[in-house]
Amino acid sequence: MSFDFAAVLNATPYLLQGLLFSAELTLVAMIGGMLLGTFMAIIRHMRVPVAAEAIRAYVTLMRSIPLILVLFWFFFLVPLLLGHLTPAGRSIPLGPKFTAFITFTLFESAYYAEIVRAGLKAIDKGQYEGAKALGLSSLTMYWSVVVPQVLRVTAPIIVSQTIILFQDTALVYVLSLTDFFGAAAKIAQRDSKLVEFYSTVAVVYLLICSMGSELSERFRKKQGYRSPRGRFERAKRMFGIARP
Amino acid sequence: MDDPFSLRNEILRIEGLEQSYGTLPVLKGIDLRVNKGERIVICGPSGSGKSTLIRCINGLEAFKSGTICVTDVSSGEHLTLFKDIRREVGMVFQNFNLFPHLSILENCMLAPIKVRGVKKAEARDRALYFLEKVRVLDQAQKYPGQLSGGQQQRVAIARALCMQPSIMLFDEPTSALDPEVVQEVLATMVGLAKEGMTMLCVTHEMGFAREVADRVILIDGGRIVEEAAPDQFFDSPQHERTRAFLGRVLRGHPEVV
Repeated sequence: MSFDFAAVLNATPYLLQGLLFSAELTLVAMIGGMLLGTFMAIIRHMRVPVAAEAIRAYVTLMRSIPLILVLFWFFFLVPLLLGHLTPAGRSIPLGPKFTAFITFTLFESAYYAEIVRAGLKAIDKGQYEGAKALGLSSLTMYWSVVVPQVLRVTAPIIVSQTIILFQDTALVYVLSLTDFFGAAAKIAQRDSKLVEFYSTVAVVYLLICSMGSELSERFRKKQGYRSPRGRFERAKRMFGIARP
Repeated sequence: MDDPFSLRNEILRIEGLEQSYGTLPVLKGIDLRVNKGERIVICGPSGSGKSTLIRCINGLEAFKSGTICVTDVSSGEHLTLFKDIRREVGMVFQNFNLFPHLSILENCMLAPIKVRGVKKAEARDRALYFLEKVRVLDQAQKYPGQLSGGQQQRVAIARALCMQPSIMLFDEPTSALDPEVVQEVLATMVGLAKEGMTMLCVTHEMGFAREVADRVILIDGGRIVEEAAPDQFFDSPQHERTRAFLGRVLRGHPEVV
């Protein structure tokens, strides 16, 4: 059996395009998901009436349904619902790319919300009390005191969740979008070189996700250090270059 | 009984404070008045409610009934909302509660900037001033994790002082410290008292109470049992429970204080 590596090399530009889309989607869903998730976690932590319950229901729902189903639901059902709302009564199609970005962000936000919420509960109560005793508003308390600490503590878990997100982006296949996996699949089927392309894709995912896991591990080890000296020193330590 | 002079001089007034932990009553009707410049020490056995009392003052604990009123020493305004009270009430905790991700200087600058709207440069000067006062100026660029317990607590005092409060509350400030550093923190508090800061202090340090307090209060079972000047309190206590408490504490018994 021969392994036609040349075919993979030839397809590299196309594969890279797909990889770029995967990266783009991951980045948007991570940033959007973290922003929305942090906001939801804070609302829940503050026990804002009505809103906290609504968010709880939303998070439970999103974490109970497989992503593929959420993608389908958004792609097929939401246009119909929107159509009912408009006078024309016709279903409003949402492009697959728009669907993907929105759906992934909303889906991931539920997971990030739970991570941040656990972090908020894990932070020493004294931090909240110290902030309140100084007269800090809730907004300042969360923004300047609590969330920075939460992000430091939960960084390893957030990175893990983002790795999972990156792998999940392959699901846009069902929306006929071309991500890294989709690109490989298309060429593999066109050129009948399934083994070569799927192997390559697997190796690339393995490499990327391993680097992510390593980063997560570095963050975890960094927890032991309570004395970063400056931003640059902190960054160096984070990447394992400086010594305490 | 409230003449205008005493009202102006009164920094803190607590009336009929009742607080419960679930169904368990913790404070059963506390009345307390603190005037400007007074130093009050509150002591009592464990579970007596003394920490709860302090924490009710700035709203860290919710209470069932009663009123708390703090007077802004610079404007004379009477404050009853906690968001206002917290500006004027500085608090020092047993566990310091410094923010570990900010430098010492940043810890001290945060509240004046965000709450009092002080400009960054002025907040910085103020922070440096108070850090020097508590003698940790050389640690200003470091982070809390790099400081000893005694230094951290002194920073906590400076941080509270940067808000220029009308009254300082201390919740067992030396209880979590190694014995060697207790004195350095107490010395800082004595210095503060000598400058005329109004202070309400929950502590077991009876030496400190004798030296500095205008009044010593014993709380037991959620009520104020005795309230007197230190000489009378320590040398000729009126109540049996006070005598029992002092007997245990001053004989150095490691009771559940």
